[in-house]
Amino acid sequence: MNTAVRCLHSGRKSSAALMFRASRPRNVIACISLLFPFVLLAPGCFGQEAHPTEFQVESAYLYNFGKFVKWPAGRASPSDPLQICVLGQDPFGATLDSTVAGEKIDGRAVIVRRLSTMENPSPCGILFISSSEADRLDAVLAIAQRSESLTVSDIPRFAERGGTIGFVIQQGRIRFEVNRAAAAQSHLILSSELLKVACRIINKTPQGSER
Amino acid sequence: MRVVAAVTVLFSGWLAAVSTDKPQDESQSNNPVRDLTLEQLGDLQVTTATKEPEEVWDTPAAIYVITQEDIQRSGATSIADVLRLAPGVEVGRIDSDSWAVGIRGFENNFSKAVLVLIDGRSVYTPLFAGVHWDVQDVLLEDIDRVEIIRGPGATVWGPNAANGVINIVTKKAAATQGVMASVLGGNVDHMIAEARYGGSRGRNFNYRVYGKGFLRGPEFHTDQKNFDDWNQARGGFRADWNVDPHNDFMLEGDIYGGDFPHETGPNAFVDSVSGGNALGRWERTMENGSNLYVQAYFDRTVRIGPLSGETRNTIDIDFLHHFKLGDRQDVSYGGGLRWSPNRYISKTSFLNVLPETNIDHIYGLFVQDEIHFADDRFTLTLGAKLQHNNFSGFDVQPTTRGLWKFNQHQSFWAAMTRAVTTPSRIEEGIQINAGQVSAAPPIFLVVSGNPHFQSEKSVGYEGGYRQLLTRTLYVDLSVFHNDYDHLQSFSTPTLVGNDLTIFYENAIAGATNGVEIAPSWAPRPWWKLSGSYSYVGIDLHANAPGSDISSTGSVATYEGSSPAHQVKVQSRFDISKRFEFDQTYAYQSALPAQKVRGYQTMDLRLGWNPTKEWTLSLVGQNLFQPHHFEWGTGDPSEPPIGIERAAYVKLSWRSER
Repeated sequence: MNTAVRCLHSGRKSSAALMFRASRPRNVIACISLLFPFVLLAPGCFGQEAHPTEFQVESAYLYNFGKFVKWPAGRASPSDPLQICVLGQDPFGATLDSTVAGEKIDGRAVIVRRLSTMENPSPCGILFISSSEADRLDAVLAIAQRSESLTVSDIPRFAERGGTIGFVIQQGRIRFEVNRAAAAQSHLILSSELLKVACRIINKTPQGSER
Repeated sequence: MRVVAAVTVLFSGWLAAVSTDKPQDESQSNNPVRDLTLEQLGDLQVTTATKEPEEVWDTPAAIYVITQEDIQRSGATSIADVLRLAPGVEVGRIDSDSWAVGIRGFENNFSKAVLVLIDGRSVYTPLFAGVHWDVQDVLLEDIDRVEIIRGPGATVWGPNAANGVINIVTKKAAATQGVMASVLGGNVDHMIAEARYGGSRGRNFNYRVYGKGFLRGPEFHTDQKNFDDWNQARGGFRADWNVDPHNDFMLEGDIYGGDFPHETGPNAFVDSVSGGNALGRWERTMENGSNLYVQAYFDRTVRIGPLSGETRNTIDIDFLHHFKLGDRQDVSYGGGLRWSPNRYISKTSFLNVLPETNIDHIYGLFVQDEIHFADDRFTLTLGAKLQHNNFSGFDVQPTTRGLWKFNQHQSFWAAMTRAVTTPSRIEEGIQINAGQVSAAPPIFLVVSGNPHFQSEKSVGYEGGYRQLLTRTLYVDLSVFHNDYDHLQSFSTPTLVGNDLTIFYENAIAGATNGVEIAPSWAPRPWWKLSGSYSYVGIDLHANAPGSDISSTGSVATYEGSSPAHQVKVQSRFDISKRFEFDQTYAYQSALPAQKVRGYQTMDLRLGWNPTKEWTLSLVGQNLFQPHHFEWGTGDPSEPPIGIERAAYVKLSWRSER
């Protein structure tokens, strides 16, 4: 076939199919490069200076939110500890406990409680809702609103769905969205410093209508 | 044996990782980030569990997302090379400026039957029903992600998604603020220079402008004819305007030009390409949760070579309306019209496409209903697309999909879809006078397009399973069986007057089967491994005797131009806060019809971030051999072009806002 067909088609006449073996690379450097990461799996090698985990950052956020939120007066006495409750499957483990250990906010000690159900949520100043509860989210939020807890979660679109603070991951960083209407419905006052740092502010009540 | 060695190394490494795996040990000490302010917490880069992006989890299709970080750490310098990272995508570099791309088979140098979109603008050309990869370029840094859907018709926009959709999504202007400049130099990518500036007017109006130019050298030619060095310059902008919480506007545009050489015989010739496009989009979100999208774009391409040329203007307008129906249904419907007047410029007597001036158009409507059952555990999607094109009339493309989410970490999906690939200008109207085959009586050999060429049809049956096995291990499995009919073939020569004519026909049919497994594992917070294995078996037959004269259109070529097996492994290693070491490995089995052996490639990248603004990268590509072949030239007298071992250094600077 001449050049005319080829210029558009790369025309060819094929012959019978042939079997080919994989070619053998001879580059030793590339071979070593394959081994490289495994050599460094030895415990203690690297890793510690690298990035914090999302749960270290979220624990720090949960602790810090307590400084930027005002609960209604009379809700708890000044000597009662501020409870950060984790509802559902706990992704933090000891990280959250070590974050708040020995700390005080407004003179109140900070403790962590784990809940498997919403039976007694009233003492929870801050309620972190694990993604394991995503199916029951609407019911959980209704109860949390009555108990005037600050609801926080990493469930996708949490703030849009009526939660107060939702974590979002943007380009490898953890940011948060705030739903002011949800906060108002729970009678919480969010400090302007918190709102300034939020990456997005929503004004949508849990029922979906906008204010 | 290299593959065995590599697998042994990986396996022993896995054993090592598992045996030294301890539960989270950061609990022993205080949380190191506890005392940071809220702003500082929001600035920290974190390592996250291997979590599939949400759009993958909720999609009843074989979807894979290449993130900006994947692109950066692969060291790829072109869009076609970025696509190599995805499972089931076959990419073969033909020479310095062209690629053959396919999804689940049918890799070919036209990249037919794969719908490629950049921000919703289709870059498919009706000239040969494929993609000119050499002019599809964006600043790779400004790509937010590339979504690849393997399998037929999974999109609501655009024709010719029979084998898959590649959707390149650029970052919003708000995410590309400040100055970015980079320069790269190497032995094959001689120079790539990029600059971008992003600014804003208030919170709601953001924009960016960019410029890019590159010079790329030739690949390896056994006959020393280094014709394929090429160059291109382009510039463009994007503006996003969030008018109010319910309305968003976006406008973007590019212009480009360059010289692309090709060899068409004893001499090399140069194609000049230039073009531009502009796209506008309006997105309206209404209070009841419904959305309306309206999009329009204009695209002009001019391609002039010594033998032929084409100028094409395309105007496209699409809309989509999505709303909730009752409690359980998400309904979308929409339509689009594409109007593409074009002119084929013939400069020789032996090659032409008729009619020379034509208006290609396609319009269509689609509707889709997503019905949620059992508290969103099961979703059934029913959809259909009806389209009309100027070549082959009406086509209907229905689809049925189901998605079962067993729990937070496990899901299963299945789909059945009919898709078509519309005919191209070449298939309908090419005229190649291939020479005189007999002096007396005078008989000429002609290859002719066929005005009655039909759409190629396929029905795809596919399914997949996804599971987050542990916090650090995720696996995605897909299987498929596609039935094909009316695939393009060439007739046997028929005497028509003085012409011995070979016509374009639709006489090939058959099926493909395959499987893709894509695990993703983060054995340590500073080390991510991902990869895939894919298998495609192509079994076709011809319903009529045919001619085997081209890179498409014969059973042997279709079956022998896709790799039966592909293995891809990417290892991303954060040596410290400042250093990154990345490895990208790939294996492809042989392409007998292209006379290409199976091969393995390894790309290495060392990245250094001395400060937040500066990044220095040292990249080696195709390191295993001095050169290797990925695609044939189609002419036994011309050896394939070898893709060279390459290295480059890249320096980039960005100001963070």
